[in-house]
Amino acid sequence: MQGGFYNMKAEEKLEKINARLASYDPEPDNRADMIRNVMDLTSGKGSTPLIEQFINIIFGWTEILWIRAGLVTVSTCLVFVFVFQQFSIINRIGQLENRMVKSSTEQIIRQQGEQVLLNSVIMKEIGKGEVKDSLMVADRDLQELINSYSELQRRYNDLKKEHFSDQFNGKIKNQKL
Amino acid sequence: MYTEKRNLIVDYSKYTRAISRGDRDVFREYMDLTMDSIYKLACRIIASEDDAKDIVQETYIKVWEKRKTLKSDKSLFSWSRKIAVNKCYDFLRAEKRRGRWNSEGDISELAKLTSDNSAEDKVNSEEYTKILKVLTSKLSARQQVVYTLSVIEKLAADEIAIETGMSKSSIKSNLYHAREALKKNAGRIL
Repeated sequence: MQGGFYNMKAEEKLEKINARLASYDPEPDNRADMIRNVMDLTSGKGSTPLIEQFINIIFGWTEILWIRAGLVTVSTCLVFVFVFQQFSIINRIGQLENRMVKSSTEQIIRQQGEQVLLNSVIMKEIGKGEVKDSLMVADRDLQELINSYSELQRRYNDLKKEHFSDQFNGKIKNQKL
Repeated sequence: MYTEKRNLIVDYSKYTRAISRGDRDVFREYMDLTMDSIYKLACRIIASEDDAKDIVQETYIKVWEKRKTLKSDKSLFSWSRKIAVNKCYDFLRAEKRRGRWNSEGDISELAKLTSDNSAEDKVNSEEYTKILKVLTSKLSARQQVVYTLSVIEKLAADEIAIETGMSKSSIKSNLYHAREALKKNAGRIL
């Protein structure tokens, strides 16, 4: 019988095999258990934990357990490093901000101190009248300058008058002579 | 169309509506009604009854989890079959990648299994697994799924397109290449 099969053409053999395969008609022997399992799993009992579901979504493409475990470990480490880095950066920014605020505050306090000191000196001087006098000194100097200028002008005019009068008298003398 | 072929003349629309609402009793009834068909489909594609059980359960769990996305005009049964076929495809791909499908088998035993004497008997699980593994060891997972749905499940190209999500031209192409490879394989090893 088998010899007949060996002598068949490949296509005939395949048709025969296909017919044989199509006769396969399996039935589940424990369908009640399968249904109960599905009902249990869909009711939440024995459902996969959320973290496992998450891992399955991300690393479900690899079925080799040690690769999946390695990837989970590496990614967890990376997440921790990232969080630590972010924390460090935030901490550093906080420190710099504090330092900046502190230096600004010190500067403002110092400036305020200087201003207060200056104000107090000015107020003290005003109280003494020195400031007022010093302002009057300027007026006085100006007045002296104007006076000097007026005096100089007056002298110049006198000199000019004398000079002209001398010339005039000289001419008259010459004419008389 | 599916229901006539499998002698399941059932109006699935009431199941679709009730299950999408979250009615667990109807879901249980639906499983009871369709489990044999889904199980047979999975067994025929992956040739492993234990793994087929897992795939069937995963299929129904997915149906329940995604029930809210199911539209009332969509066939619940063909959607369930589509989920099962996709799971079988993933399983086959993983098996082939791991090299677990490359069984050369015992050629003389295969000849005996397919001889005239056994033509009238139904093939059992073990025999089916042996024959399928030897025959389809050179096929890709996609070709094998298309071949099983076409030749063993006896579905038309448009039905295979619904269940696999592939285009008709792609199905025809895969089926042609699968047949050619199987003819060569059958001619060479038997």
